[in-house]
Amino acid sequence: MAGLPGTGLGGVFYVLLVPWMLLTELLRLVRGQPLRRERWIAIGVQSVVAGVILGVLWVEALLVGLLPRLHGLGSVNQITFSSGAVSMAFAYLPILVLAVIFTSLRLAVWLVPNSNAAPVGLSAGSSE
Amino acid sequence: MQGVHHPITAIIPAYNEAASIADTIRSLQGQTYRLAEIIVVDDFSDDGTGDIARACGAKVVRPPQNTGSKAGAQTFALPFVETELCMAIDADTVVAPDGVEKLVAAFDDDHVSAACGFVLPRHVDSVWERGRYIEYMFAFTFFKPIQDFFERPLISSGCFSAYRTKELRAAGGWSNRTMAEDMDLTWTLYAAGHGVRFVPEAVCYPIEPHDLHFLSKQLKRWSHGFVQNVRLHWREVLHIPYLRAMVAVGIWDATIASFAYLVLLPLLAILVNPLFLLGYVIDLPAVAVPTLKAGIGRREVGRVLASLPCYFVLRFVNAVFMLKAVWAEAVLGQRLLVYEKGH
Repeated sequence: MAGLPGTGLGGVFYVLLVPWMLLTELLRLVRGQPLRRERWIAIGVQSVVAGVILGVLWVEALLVGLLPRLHGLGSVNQITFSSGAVSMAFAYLPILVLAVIFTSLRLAVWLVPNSNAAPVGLSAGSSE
Repeated sequence: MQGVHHPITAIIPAYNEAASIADTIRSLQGQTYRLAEIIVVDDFSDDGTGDIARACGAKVVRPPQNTGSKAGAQTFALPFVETELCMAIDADTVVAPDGVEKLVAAFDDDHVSAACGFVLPRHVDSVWERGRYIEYMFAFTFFKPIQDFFERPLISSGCFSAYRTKELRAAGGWSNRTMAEDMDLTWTLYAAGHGVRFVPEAVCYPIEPHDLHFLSKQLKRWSHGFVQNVRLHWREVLHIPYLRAMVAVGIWDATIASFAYLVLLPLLAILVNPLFLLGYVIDLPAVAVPTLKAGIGRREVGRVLASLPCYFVLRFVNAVFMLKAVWAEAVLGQRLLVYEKGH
């Protein structure tokens, strides 16, 4: 959404939704729903975009890790924390936070009564 | 049923839009899809907006007093709409010649009650316009198609969206209970069980704020509007699959992530290691990938590359406004109630 800072989990969340797009569509097919070409095109396009994003970030991580060594400063991890800790934290923290958010949402759905006028499903026939 | 003709009326709310209203009306008159009527709501302008609109051939309606908001002006026009569909378009926005045709096609699906298109700034010159250009290119190329795949576009953008008139009326039109009437209406439609779609081929070009003064007014409205809508709709959104996750992630980015961006990163850079400043640009490649993809498609690669740094400036400003809005609305209970235009 324009105006949102774009500083946090949004990118990780949507990259993780891309494999979920594929899973959702496979589930639709298994349930006997008709194949929709435009949805498979969307999966293909976003998969390429997400794949390139991850590839570029991986290369960047390698380069960032090398940068202090090139200047004789040791590795990024040696400078900041114990070896591996920084990269581990940055890699897994967003996923951990998302897991907490999704778990909290499921709990909240269970606890808070549904006030919607009509059941809100997806015509695609899948749920979160 | 494919290819059904859906009569559509355009509603253009306008307060002192003399500089841009003629372009907007002409872009609608030049559409490949013929509109039944163009209604301009002259919201007590004092710059001749109504006269210009009338001279361009639009129907001009004037409320008994200034409505005080875009929502008020648009809803004032709703009783004048006699067509199956109606479209809201900002008075500073022009639409690609086939924009309406592409958008209307979404309503061949009876479940769809609202549809929105791809938004790009009309002018891409200042730092702020360039930052917004990248923001839109990224969001409308990556985020919004994924949202649409799960049939949950987060917002049907107020600058250019079409609605099924009957369901729009049932929803009460556009409400001025929040500063983001487009988000309010979108989430209201979802809660009523209706569908919203994103049509990337339907392109529109609004005028974006060119300086920090006008950008501030817009961001203040948007950030307060987001918080107001979360507070208003959270019980409904909680029971809408995918939308609840998108909004939850948005809340995280608006609060915790903004705090980390503005406060934590600089502190870590000062107290631990300057390398933490990399955090401000570490995702540059991730932002660049979808925007360059879109830029290649639009033959605007040079513009994308020149504008990318501006995105990181705008992002910083977005974070400031969002944190201020969360603090004011959610903590202090100070609701923003006055609608100020962004240009």
